[in-house]
Amino acid sequence: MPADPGAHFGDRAARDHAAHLGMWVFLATELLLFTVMFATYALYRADFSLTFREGHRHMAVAIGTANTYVLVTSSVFVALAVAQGRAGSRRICAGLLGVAIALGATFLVLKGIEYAQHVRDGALPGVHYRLSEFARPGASLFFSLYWLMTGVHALHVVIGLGVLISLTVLALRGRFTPDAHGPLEIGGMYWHLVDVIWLFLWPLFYLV
Amino acid sequence: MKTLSILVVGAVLLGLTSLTFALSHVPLEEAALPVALLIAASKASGIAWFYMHLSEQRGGSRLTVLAALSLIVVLISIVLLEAADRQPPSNAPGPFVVEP
Repeated sequence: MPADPGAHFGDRAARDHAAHLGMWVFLATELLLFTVMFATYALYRADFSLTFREGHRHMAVAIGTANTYVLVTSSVFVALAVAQGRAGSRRICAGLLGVAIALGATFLVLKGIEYAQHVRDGALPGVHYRLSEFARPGASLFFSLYWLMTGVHALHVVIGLGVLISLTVLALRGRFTPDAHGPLEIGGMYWHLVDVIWLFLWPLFYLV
Repeated sequence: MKTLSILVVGAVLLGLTSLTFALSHVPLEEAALPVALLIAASKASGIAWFYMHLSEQRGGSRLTVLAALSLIVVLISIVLLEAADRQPPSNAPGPFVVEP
């Protein structure tokens, strides 16, 4: 058996480059998926400008803001984990990934609390909308987009947590070395994308 | 990327997050949305460049990101241009009774 079973795909640098390129193509498709939803938001914000500008008054701004800090901090921990994985410090790498996983779970818990509050208030999508304090043209559209966009994002957070858990297991098994750490970088990129998407959702729904 | 650099980038990201939140309490009126999105784009660029290793990649990866960003700009621009030329919607949305 050859020492490097993937050698016929080129040297390690070439394979890492191919892996990054492939991941960026995948992330580009993810970005375009969200772009369709952002374009829909732009269209309805143009149609119902005043309603969309008032929408954040009916949102849990404290929870949304806390979640922003949580996700940004988790991204920092993932970046630190990748650096440690590159250095071959597998236990520190796994520990840092563990903190990022805890932060990701915190995000979902806070989001769940927020969703529950919206359900109690009747701020539901489409024909189920019954938030009487915000009963004006476009209000149900605002919340339909809120549920759609944050829901799809939350799904990505769940998938991202699965990726981080897998990376933690691989790190503990010593699969990442200074010479071979591609999956750690690639998996980390997915988590960063989840963070990037939220950076745009937060101001659009909670602040302005 | 070294640990100190990662922490510095992280501090900048958290600082920009605080700036976004602080500016949301300033009456910027029409400028509020572009300013918030500009800061978000700055943060996203920092994450892509430093944390997503774009600074270490050459050629294809950067080109892919550039192509995706171009398509995003084109799609959003077309929607906004079309929306700017619209009459107010004639159908009042929502299952509730809207006061005239």
